[in-house]
Amino acid sequence: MNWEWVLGLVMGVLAGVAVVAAAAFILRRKTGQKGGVCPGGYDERQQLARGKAFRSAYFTLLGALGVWMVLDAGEVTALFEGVGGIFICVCLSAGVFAVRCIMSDAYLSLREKPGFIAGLFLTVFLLNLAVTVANGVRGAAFLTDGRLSAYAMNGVVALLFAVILAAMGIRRARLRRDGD
Amino acid sequence: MKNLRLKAARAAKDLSQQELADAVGVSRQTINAIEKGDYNPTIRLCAAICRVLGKTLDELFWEEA
Repeated sequence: MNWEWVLGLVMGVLAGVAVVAAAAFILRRKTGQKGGVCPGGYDERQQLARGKAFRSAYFTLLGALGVWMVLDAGEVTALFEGVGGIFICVCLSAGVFAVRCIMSDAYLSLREKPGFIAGLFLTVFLLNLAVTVANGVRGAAFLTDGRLSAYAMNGVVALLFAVILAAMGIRRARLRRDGD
Repeated sequence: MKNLRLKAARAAKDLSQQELADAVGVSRQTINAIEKGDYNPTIRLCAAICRVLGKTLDELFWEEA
């Protein structure tokens, strides 16, 4: 086993947990909320919409994993290296959940500040984009034998957050247009 | 079906959607969805809206068949 790779994976996960914990701490300080990044501050319509979004995301994940398993099985050439396929399926599912929630105004709870969350997502997008560009500059292979490698995963996350930010922008523009 | 009675009652109280939403503890989009007829609120939310606007459930939400 490539221990360097495992160490990198563990450090990446720990860094992600640290960022989320820091964001939750800041959010709690700013809003006086207990319960972390997603305090139970959703109204009844939002809870309903989030339930529908979760159902869509769940079936998207099942479908995507099914497609990935078929592609990965037998003589069919897998598109992704290692667990990359599963990671992309999870990102796809998360994207479906986020976009459906955003489009039904159920992504943010009543007390969360849209500007703060958008800024946080923009930071995550830029960080992942920077890592992808840095990997490209130092000659990391995004494709190995025609399959996406682990180096491409930051690009996948950047794409996910770009889609989420775009959905937030579109929704905001629509709400302004349909104002009170 | 649009709930024009709710919109009229809110306007009569000189409340914006955001102000009504804050008073009953929901998002502005939820009030907007109720007024547009895109969302059927629970009886609990209906009662809260009625309390704020000083109307009865019949006056705001009852529809004759």
